[in-house]
Amino acid sequence: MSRILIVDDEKSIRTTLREFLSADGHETVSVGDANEALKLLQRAEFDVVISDIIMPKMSGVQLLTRIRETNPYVQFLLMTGEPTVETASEALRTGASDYLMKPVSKAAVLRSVANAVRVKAIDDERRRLAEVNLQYQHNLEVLVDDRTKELQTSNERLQSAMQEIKDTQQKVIRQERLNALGQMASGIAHDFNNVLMPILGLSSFMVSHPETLDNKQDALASITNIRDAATDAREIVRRLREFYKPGEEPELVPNDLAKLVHQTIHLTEPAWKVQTEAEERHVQVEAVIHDPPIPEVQVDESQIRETLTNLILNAVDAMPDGGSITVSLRTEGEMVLLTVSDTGEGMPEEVLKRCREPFFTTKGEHGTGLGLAMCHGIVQRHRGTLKIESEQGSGTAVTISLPKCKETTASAGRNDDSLCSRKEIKPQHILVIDDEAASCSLIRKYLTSLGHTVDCATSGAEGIEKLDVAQFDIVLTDRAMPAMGGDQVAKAVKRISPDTPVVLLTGFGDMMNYENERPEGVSVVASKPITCEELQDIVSGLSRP
Amino acid sequence: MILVVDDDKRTVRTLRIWLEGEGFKVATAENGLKAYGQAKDPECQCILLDITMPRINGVELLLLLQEERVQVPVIIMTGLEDVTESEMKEFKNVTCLLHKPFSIGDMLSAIDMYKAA
Repeated sequence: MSRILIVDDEKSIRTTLREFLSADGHETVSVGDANEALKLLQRAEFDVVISDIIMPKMSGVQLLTRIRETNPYVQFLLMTGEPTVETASEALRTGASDYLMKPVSKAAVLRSVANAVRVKAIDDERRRLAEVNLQYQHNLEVLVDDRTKELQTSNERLQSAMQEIKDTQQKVIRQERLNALGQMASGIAHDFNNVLMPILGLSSFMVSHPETLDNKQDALASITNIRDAATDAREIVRRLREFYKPGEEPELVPNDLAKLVHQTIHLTEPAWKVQTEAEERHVQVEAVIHDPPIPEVQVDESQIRETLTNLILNAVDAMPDGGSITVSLRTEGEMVLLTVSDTGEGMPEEVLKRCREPFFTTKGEHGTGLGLAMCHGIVQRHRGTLKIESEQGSGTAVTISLPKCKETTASAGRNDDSLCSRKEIKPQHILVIDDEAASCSLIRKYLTSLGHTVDCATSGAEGIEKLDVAQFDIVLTDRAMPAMGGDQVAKAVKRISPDTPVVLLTGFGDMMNYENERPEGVSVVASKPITCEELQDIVSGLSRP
Repeated sequence: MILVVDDDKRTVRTLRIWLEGEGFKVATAENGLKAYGQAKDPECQCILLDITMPRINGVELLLLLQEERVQVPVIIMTGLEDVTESEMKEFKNVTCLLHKPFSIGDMLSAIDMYKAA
């Protein structure tokens, strides 16, 4: 049922239309003029308005225009007794749904109203759906907003939790490092005191008993003892420095793993030999190289050495009754496999599962629980894998797979045994700056023995003066000097002669400065004490052909 | 005769040169086990003893000597920083503690000290 408003100044027509429409089931209201119709429309809802065009005061077309201002949805039918093309077209243009000619027949009115009602119904439905759609969209937006906010909050919470975990982890790792360092420091002091014994003892004896120098053989034996002890001392400092090295990106250089294996076995020996011998358990470490030569592998030498050291010492700990450790190398496809296997106790499944976790340890107070975790991290940074196989009672094998070098160039001879006798380099003119005269003269001795010419300066200022008047191929400067330090010298060199490479020599005191930063203008940082071989290596790396 | 007990061969060599330079007769051992027999030699006047050694270490040797009432004076020499003279002197035989690295003068005054006692 629809509500119809009839507007006509002729009462008979109003009555006729009401009769027609009521009979057809519509609810009708009729008014005699347009103003009354407007008032009514403000108060009540109608589906269709049927209006005469020609009325006193306000015409039907005017009424339609007014209605449209506030109510765009009501259907509007216009009637006229004097149909002209103009009125018809004006009516339709203004937005009337239909146009009826008087006298109107019942059928025509009912058909026209039925059409209008249907259009209104469809329009209403369309608007309702649009409204629903809009509401739905709005709800969806609200929902999405709410969810986004929720997610954001939980994301923020997660992030701050992650940060907290990271911070704690860092703190714990630092603490662990410090604890381990403390343990190590006393060991280092012991080792240091021991190596100082012959260095000081023999040298001071020779100084106070110069006549002993006449026996060349004895004197040489003493000097050899002093040198060996000093070499050991340097190794102790290296060990400490390795320990300080932060977990940085590996410096990947092609390396001969076989050589590294032999070296590491040799280096770790003092760490376990005393202990195992004291406990009278026989431990033996052996290197097995399958199908030599093993192709070179891009590795950070010190990090792989650290890993291997860890694995060997773990293996020693795993053999309370002694046994043998095999460090083997073999090639498998594109990978080089490095295996450390022992004949020890092996690990129970529970330990095997957890042994890579940071801070997991079976060694109680003696372990930081970082060894294997560190190994794992290092191997990952080398794009390799670490596999652990273990059987209780028969031993453990840890295998590291590392990708072998793509190009097997011979140029990577950095770690070649023939370090000291390798191809001649053009003699270089080198400026050495060191406030310690002894250090200066030692380096001069080394360099001249390698065929280079050397000029020495005992202060930064003197060095810069020399650089002003002469051309040098390389400048080698000590870092710690009074007045003008090595860092300042490097900067000055860059200003005076930008192409001249600067080698910065740092000593024991700088060891703690582990940031690994290279000061401005410095090409190479080398540590003191430096050997002839190392010097040659650095100079040949920097010299111009 | 003075017995030098240390697993560090270079230290042993240094001490031998020092002591022989002063006219002492020197015997050496690289661990407590090897020193044990020589310590009981009546000719042995004094032992210069390291602590950290494989097999039988310095402290273990001291305990053995104490147990067997061997009266030989012992000068302890160590690279360990946290060893104190008072704790070492709890062993009857110990007359003096030398922290490595020590000088020939330190060693000689330690020897004088046991002689005076």
